Amino acid sequence: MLILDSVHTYYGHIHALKGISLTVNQGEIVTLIGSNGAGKTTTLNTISGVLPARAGAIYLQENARSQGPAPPGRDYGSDIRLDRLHAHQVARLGVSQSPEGRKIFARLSVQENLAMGAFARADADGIRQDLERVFQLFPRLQERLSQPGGTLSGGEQQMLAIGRALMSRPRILLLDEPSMGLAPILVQQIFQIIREINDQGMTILLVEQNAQAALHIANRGYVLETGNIVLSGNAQELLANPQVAEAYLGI
Amino acid sequence: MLPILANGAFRNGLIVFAFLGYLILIGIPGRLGGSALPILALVAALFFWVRLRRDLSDIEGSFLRTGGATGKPGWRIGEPGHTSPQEAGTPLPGREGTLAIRKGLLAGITTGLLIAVVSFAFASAIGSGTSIQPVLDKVVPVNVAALIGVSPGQISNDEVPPLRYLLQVLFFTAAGLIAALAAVAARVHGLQTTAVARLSTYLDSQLFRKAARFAGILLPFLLLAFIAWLGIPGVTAFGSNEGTVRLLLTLIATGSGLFALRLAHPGREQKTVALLLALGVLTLPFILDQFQNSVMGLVFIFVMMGLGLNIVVGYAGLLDLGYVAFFAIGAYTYAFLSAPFSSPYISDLLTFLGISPANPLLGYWTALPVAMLTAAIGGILLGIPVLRLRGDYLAIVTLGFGEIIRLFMLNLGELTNGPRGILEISQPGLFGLAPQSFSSGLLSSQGWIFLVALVSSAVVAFVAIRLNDSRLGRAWFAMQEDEDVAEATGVHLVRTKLLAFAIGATFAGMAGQLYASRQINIFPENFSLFVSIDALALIIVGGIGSPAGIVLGALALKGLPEVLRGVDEYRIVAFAALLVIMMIVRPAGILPSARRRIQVSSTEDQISTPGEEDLDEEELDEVTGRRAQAASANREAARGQEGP
Repeated sequence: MLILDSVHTYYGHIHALKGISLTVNQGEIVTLIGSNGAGKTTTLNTISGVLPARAGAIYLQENARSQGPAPPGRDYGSDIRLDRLHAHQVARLGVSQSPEGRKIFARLSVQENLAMGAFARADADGIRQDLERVFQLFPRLQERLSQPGGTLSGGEQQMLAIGRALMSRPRILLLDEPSMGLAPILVQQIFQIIREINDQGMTILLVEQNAQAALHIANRGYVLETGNIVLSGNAQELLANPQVAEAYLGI
Repeated sequence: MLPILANGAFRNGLIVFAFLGYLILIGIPGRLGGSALPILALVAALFFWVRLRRDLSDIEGSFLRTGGATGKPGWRIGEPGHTSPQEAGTPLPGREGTLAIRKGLLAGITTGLLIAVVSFAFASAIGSGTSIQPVLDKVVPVNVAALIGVSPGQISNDEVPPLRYLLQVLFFTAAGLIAALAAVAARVHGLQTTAVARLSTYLDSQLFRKAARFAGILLPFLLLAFIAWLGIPGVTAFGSNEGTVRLLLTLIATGSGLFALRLAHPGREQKTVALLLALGVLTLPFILDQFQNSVMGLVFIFVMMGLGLNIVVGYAGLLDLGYVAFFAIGAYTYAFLSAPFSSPYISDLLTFLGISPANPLLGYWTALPVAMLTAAIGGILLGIPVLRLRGDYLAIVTLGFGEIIRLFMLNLGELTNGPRGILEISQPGLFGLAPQSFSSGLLSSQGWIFLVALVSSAVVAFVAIRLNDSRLGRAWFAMQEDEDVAEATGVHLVRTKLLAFAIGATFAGMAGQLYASRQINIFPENFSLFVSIDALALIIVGGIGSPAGIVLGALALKGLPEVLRGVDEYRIVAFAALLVIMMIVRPAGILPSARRRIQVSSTEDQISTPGEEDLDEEELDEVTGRRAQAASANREAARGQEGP
């Protein structure tokens, strides 16, 4: 449903993505792994429109739906060129990003943070349903509803970031390093929840440094190195691949 | 002597004495008259309080330095002069509190003794006929007498009762003691001092809280009643200072009304208090005189300005230093519509069109939407070029815009009549009645302006508060925190920013129009950079993002300087000192918004432990109240889920 066709992104003169092509199919978890500076976050930011792609194309395919009908006022039309849109337009098309380093709105309460996730929606009933769903996934958030986001612990902030991304009822969820800076037990919990969200039908593009954990829950994976995709394939294959094992799994 | 110096109490006393000594030498006590001694003692107490408060937080900080149980070295290296980690160790219960009180007392006695010695020296010098005036020109009987609290005659005749000096010492000792108690009371939860803990349990008692809350709610009404009583012809309580004191009381009554509103429990009680307060404040224009009304009118014009600027700076986080531009646009738009004859170009145009320029084109209320719209367009026009700028760059560009508008007004002589200004702008009418017809007896002309300002700022405040909790408000806050993330959640940055500029400008336009009709004649120099600075300062002092704080800020910044006119050339100095103290004591403003408080206290975390004094009773109530609200909202949502 999401197709990147040799996408090039630059930071000024720095060539950060050197022709990335990848596909995410409906209902899959696809993971992007790679070391620091490989271009993982840049790829996500290019998809979500925060960074402009200088060449190549990003397509969001038709009939790609999240579970449930499209919220009123949103058009799930035919193939859309995301690279020609602004970030806020991409968000309104149902591409939702949980950014690196969580970046929750520290001074807004948990409730307001979640409301910001549903900013582009006007269907009060649907929003309430999704809020319930987020609380089912993350009961902790319900306990902290009126607390400012900045006062949450790291793990709770990550839950909030994912929750906020889910509140837009996205077609595809872009998760950027959800395990960053979390205790191992929390990492496990977060990955379990990602699995759960996927089981409910959500398509997920997952960027991770923790390659092992990511490959364990993913269907397919891409390995990035200095702006290029060097390896791709089935998650099990990648786990078994000696190259990957040596470079990223620390075995 | 040495240990005294080491703990800093003596030093504090000396510093305060040096400052007060300067005030004495420039003749401040003489100007203050009978209230000189209490005011000087108050200044001393404020200083002691700030110092002791800092000392106490340092003691707490030493916990951090020792790294607590883990024994990790703290991030902050012990500064020379502070207690070393080993010495501080675990403070004995009660020790720090009693130490602070001892320090306060010692500092107060030091200052008091020195002041008494100096007063005695001056008094006996004057009494014995030695002329020190050529050297110290302000050491005159009036000044020294005010300092000691006697009549100037007693000084000249050298008949000061010795007990007066003792009284001076007692005054400053009391100042030190009160300062210490206040400082310790604020830290009591962290320190658990025994003596003070007992006091605090008493202060924490339900009865005391109830009594304090009740008194707090009652205070503004008592003050309003008192002001009304003072307004009865023939009643005087403060002699020649009557007018100023009444103005001060009015400022305090209005300000304490805001606190009363916070003290009242949300719901019916708060609504009742709000209604009664509104009625009380609305009677003010009728009972104040022309001078007080004109000051209060200006204060509330600035409340509108502050609320508008707060949308741009406080909500959307765009630092705008050229806010005066929209104020000027609103003022001049109304000026053109109301007094077209003052503008050469417009009167020519109207004559050409066959309309007589001698009469106003539009009345105040019909011109209001025009002025608001013009200002909003100005806001958008400024907004478009600065959309991509942030922080300092934005401030500089907007600063320039403010100046450009002023220079336009100054140099477009054909349109704006240049420095000669637009004259004879009319006042707001009432349902077709000319202002003169109803404003003569019951209501002075400035009283009418004040009334209009009150009603307009109430409307503006309502809109501002609603915006704060709206979807747009959330988008502004989100944008302020992180533009990229906000955009990625679907916020249209361009539209959201322009809306902030436009709405902020609209409010400034309203304020400008009222300002023009208050001034009757307006000139380009009415719209200097200082108007922007004042508006910005008042929202910072009041508490960025908090509408109630902004009203307080306007009362303090535009009202207090008028009260302090008695000490004319020093009032700005005194005022500056007041501001500095305030920013130390409440860095987030007098009544900070909930959001802003989080930010400031989270940065404070790194400097000292979070101040418990910031969360006083009312705010705790507020927090718990909000939680309760949220909880009930959840329950309702849950019920809604079960229903269908």
